[in-house]
Amino acid sequence: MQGAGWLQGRGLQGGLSFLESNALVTTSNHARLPRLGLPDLGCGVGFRIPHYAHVFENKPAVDFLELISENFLVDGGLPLKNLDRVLAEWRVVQHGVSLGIGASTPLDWEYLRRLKALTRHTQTPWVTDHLCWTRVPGADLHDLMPLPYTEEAVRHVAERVRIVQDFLELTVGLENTSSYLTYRASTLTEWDFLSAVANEADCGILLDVNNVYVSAYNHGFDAITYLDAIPKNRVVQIHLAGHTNKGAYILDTHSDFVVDRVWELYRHALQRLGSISTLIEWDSEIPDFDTVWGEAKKAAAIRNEVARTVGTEGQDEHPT
Amino acid sequence: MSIQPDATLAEIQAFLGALVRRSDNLGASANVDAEAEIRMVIAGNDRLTPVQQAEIYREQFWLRHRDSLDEDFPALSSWLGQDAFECLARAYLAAIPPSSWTLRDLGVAWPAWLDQYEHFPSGLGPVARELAHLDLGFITAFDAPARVPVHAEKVATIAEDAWPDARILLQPSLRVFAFKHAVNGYRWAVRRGDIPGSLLPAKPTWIALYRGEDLRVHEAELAVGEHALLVQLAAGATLSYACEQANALDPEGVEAQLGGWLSHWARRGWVVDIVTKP
Repeated sequence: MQGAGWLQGRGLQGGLSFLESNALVTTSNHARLPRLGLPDLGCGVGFRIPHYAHVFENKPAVDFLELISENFLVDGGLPLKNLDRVLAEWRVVQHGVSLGIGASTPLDWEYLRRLKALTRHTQTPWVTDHLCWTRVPGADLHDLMPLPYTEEAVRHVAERVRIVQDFLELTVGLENTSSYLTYRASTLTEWDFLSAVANEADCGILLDVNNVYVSAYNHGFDAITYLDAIPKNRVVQIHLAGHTNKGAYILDTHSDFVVDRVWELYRHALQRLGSISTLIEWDSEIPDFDTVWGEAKKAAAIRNEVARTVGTEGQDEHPT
Repeated sequence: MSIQPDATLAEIQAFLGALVRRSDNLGASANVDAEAEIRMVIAGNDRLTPVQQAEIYREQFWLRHRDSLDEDFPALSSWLGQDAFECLARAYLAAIPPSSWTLRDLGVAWPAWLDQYEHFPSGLGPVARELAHLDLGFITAFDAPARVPVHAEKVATIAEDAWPDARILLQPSLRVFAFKHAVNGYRWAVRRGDIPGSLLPAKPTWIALYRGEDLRVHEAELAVGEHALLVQLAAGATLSYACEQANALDPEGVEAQLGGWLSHWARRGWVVDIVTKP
């Protein structure tokens, strides 16, 4: 397994003491608890516009719904009414795409103020966004641009996460993104980078198992090594989704069923991490709600099976 | 911009930010120097060269923003056709890069930009400009702030001699337009899935977009004087000044229908307050 020892062999250990703490010593009391002490909500689905009518009419007994924060950061109108209808019936968590935590531009305080107000309204137990950058001076790319895996980037991101967590007064979970390019500047593996940021920032991780698979394919690393290396108590939520294989690379399209190999990786992750709130994402070529919920039920069945066989502490069995 | 092997995080991001916003395919256009710079930052792998890896992000940048504009401007897209729409979208994004964290704001500057644009395909410009404003009106009215409509009891307490100096505050989601073509009918046809014709005869049209109790955006045709009155009131004019201005355009309509218009606006929830002089 690659980790702190691998880094030390490359003369990097001087400025990377936080990496050594990764697997050995946690930096806060809550980091000693599974999921940073946050609840396991079961298996949910992303709340998407094509499903609104069905969900409001049929009130499916899904464990929780994940809201895209930006869809509700508006001043008025139907989105806010829909939000209140969701909050009246379901537990929700918020997931964002615009935080741009890795950008070199200043934090967007207008965005953060709106986000904080929304988190207060939804009572989300944590808030997640991506470990990436999204903007440069003068332009927002609206994409999840990968970061170079460097010590400089670890320090930069961790400091901003701490500021955001303090401001929001809420645990932030950083999601590993799918990526399609590799930087020459990178000196760390992706999993060491993610671990270092999470430990240094004392924040959560949203582990997207599909993204691990996609990036493993695109960059030729071993997905199991990744899953085994991240700090287990910091994973507060898991994402699962489908993707599109273009041959030379895989694109993270959220347009299909979860593939078998990702289900296997999910099972592996649960065996190590215990039961973690799990969310199915489906964002293009969206099928009917029951099809998406079917994937969540499949995840729940795997969770229950793993919980029975492993009996990990902190796990709660959820009905499917 | 040039990049060095020991570039900082900010320099790497600035380099890539400029790269993915380039309008031309990196593989087709990259000269030796540009390709060398890309190779300085991006490693590639055994399946994709550094340029090909960067090209994935550049292509996604354009697809994402074009699709977003296409979704927000359905009538403009239908009127121009796919190729001309894409060409205009690229020109707009190059001139005014997306700057807001939300894609909802992507097209807010487009209608004003199109008002100054002079290279439309033959004859399409006048209608295209109006459709752009109408499409944007639907977006901004949809999630604008909401205020509670004024209560009838408050209206009843306003003394008759206070009305001329009164300022009528309107619902923030209300949008009013004066068009030279019946572009509202064209837009509805597009939304119904019809394929409208390619000719739209000139027809002066005054309309309001407003959010109904169902929170959907509706439209109402206005008389010319009614439109002028709403424009003045929205700008903060007193009722008497607004009437003077509207009278110049529609003397008979304003005089005969002012009371009817006001009650009509109130019924639709367009009036949120009436401020009189103390």
